[in-house]
Amino acid sequence: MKKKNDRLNQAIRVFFSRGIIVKISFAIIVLLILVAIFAPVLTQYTETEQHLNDKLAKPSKTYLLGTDNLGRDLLTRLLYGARISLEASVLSSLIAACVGIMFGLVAGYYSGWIGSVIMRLTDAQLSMPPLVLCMVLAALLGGGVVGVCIVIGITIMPGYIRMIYGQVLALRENDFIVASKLVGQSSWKILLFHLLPNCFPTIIVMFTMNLGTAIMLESSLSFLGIGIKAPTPAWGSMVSEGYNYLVMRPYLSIIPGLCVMLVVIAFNIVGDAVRDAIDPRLRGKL
Amino acid sequence: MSERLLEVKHLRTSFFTYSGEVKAVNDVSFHVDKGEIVAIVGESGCGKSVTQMSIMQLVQTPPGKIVGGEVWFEGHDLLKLSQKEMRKIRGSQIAMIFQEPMTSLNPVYTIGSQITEVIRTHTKCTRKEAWQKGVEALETVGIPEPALRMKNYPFEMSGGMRQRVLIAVAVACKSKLIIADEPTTALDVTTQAQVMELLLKIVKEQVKSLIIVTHNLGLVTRYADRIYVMYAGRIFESGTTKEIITNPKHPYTKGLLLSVPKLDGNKEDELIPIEGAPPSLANLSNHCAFAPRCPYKTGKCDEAPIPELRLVGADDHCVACHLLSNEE
Amino acid sequence: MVRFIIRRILISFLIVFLVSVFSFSLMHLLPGDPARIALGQDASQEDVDALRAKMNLDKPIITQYYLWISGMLRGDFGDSIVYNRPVRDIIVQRLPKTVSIGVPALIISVVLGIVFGVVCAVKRGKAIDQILTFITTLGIGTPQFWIGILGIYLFAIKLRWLPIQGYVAPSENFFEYSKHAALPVFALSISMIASIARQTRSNMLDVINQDFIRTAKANGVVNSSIIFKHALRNTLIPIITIVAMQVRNVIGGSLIVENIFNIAGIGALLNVAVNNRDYLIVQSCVLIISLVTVVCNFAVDILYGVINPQIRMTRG
Repeated sequence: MKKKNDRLNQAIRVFFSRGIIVKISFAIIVLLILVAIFAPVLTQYTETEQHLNDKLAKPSKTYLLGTDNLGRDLLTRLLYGARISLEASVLSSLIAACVGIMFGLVAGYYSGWIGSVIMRLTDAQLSMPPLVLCMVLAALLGGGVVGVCIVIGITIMPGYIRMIYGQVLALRENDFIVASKLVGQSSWKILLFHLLPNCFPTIIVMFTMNLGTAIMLESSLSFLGIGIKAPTPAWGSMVSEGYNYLVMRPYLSIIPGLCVMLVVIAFNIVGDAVRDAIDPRLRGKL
Repeated sequence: MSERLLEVKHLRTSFFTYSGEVKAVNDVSFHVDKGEIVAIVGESGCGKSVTQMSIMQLVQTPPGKIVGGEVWFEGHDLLKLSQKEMRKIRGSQIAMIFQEPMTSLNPVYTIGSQITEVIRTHTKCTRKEAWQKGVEALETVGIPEPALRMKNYPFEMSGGMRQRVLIAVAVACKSKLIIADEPTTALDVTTQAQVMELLLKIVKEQVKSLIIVTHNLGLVTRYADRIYVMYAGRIFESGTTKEIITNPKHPYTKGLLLSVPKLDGNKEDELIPIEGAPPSLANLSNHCAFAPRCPYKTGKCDEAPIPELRLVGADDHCVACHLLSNEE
Repeated sequence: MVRFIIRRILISFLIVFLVSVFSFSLMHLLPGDPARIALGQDASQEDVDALRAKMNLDKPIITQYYLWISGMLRGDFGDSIVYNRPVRDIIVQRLPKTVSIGVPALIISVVLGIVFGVVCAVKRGKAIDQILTFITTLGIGTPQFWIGILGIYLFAIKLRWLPIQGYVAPSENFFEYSKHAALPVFALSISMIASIARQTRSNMLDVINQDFIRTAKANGVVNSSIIFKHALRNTLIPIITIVAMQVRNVIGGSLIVENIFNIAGIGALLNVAVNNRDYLIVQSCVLIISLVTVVCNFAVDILYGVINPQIRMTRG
């Protein structure tokens, strides 16, 4: 138990020793979470509230960042948009991890025919650009946050499938698997209780990195008008709506886009730091 | 009196890391004469490889730094030369071969192109001439069908063959000194003997000098003229091979010899290892570094400063040990 | 080597086949009747049925798939519901626009990415490395839609150097084409440059620490030769794979970039087609996109064999 704590402590130390950038990124993520949770408290408006008399108002004391073309307070929509982004990233990454790991295990366990099929399907999926795949799938599954999350989750899962598949294959070569089988342990137990815990560090690193990718995909989708439909505020769709007013109210587009960028970069930097803290040998591979 | 080819004086090299200054080479002095084979023997981590890298100025300079000393070669202090001047010496005057032949050659170029590149870097000749010299070099190191081999890629050759190629590169430019850092450690026993014989032959035929760095004392007793024993960044004992083997003075050397199996020894004789482990080079004390493990240690050893090398026997046999200097 | 090529070709066919099945099934799983959607709610049942028959929607699914695939192989991609023209014509008309933006973006990204990556690796730890690495971290997280719009705001609206939107073919007027293409190419390239630079730097650092580099140094080989001859070739081998992956990203990115800059290319086409359930266009486009990616990956594998002698001689 003490050994585990030491490793955790060391990991935390390495994580934060990476410098001021990591700390800032971590702070951005914490800010994102807080904003998402406390959005209703932080603003007096709701995200869909329209003030038609104050359309496209400039920033002022009433509307700290101005209003959009339907008189909705920009700051409020940003705050509620943070919710959407956070939800989307976490849910998609969870779906990707769970489904991907499952497929990877199945592919590796039944490595013959079924394994080949799963891996070929994964290859086929990877031959399509992620955004194209998302778009086509989203047309099928419809809008809504959950639908989008499933779509993004499916798009991201090949990483897990390949990784787990590789690990299972490597494990099969290991002598101790044969030994366990001789003792009578069922293969599934071996997979779940030996292999999977071994993979946890890599899974955690992959998960953290996927959080950023998921937000990027979600905002791109909502920019294109797919997935999360109006009037739900998603940062991507806010950029798209604001584009029409770029000349006179550039910030309507630029600020939500900036939020996406900051959050994605923060997740990427934190993901790198997590990877270095957990296992620097993964550098270059993940 | 043979002519001195290389003289290292009070060399110090340290690595500056997060844990502090690691004194990898802590005042090392030795010399090599023309046509001599000198062995530097010691455990892993004693600083013998870093010493050679320092001579060649190949030490990784952000963490590492040569902090003191002189390295005299053919009338120049190598440590004062610029990288550009040093580059002219590397490969042409002093050649170095390393431990891992399997990974020491570029996998995407043929042997021939790698040898000719080195030749053309140091001598002015056409591609054809360089190729010819390369073939001759391969022949010298005993590679069959050298002309064909020049067109091979490294992965098409065995470890022993690759090591020969690396020696051939060293030979091709007629360097005066070869530094071999653990040249046989990664090879199997038969190949080890072949490579050592090859090195011996080259040294004798072409009147080169050779520094062999190894942890395998048994290997060098047959080949080396003189031996230096290194420990924790310093030299503990030096002398001719004969003197060191028959008359070891330092407790560490004695321990090393006892732990090597002898072909003519009794089967029941135990191999006696040296107790303990080498010290961390980041936390060196100001006293004899071997004291914690020394079976002959006295109270004095824990208090007196680091022992210096002193002459104790025939043929320049020197030892750094408090107990022995008292015997004078 | 020949066996290797054949095996790769077979796998490529399999992948394209799987993608075709996927996109076919997807479109036919969509709720609603394509014929009804095309003709509108007010159309009579007979018209709808007639259109269904024309679109082969009344036949069994397998037959429909077979008819579609055999049509594709003959060059007949079917007719678009929305545009009422052969799909093939639409694609052929739009493809050059996407290519004329995508290919320059790819080339620029690869060149700049590799250059930046090598510079960072060689000057590791120094100021230029720190700065460039930081910039690439920013670049990877930069959304294409945002940088595109920002670019428009700065260069087109504020500075008035470049046009806001639109497209001019290079064959018409190269200067105008460059002006119109500059921002879209820029938007597409940013994250690609960052990605490639990162990967190149990482690979190069790994290579520089290899033993054979130490040997070359110990033999006195000139520094420039060490970097450009010994290190670079070993570095570029895995980079080729990265480049193939970027082809995929270029296509994905053109969805967004064509939307922002109002370019009538394949990306915009796909966007419209998905929204309008123009399933034949979607199927064909997805298939073609996948084919392009697969061909690129295949070319990369062959190139691997050429550059890395070990693979060439021992595989297959």
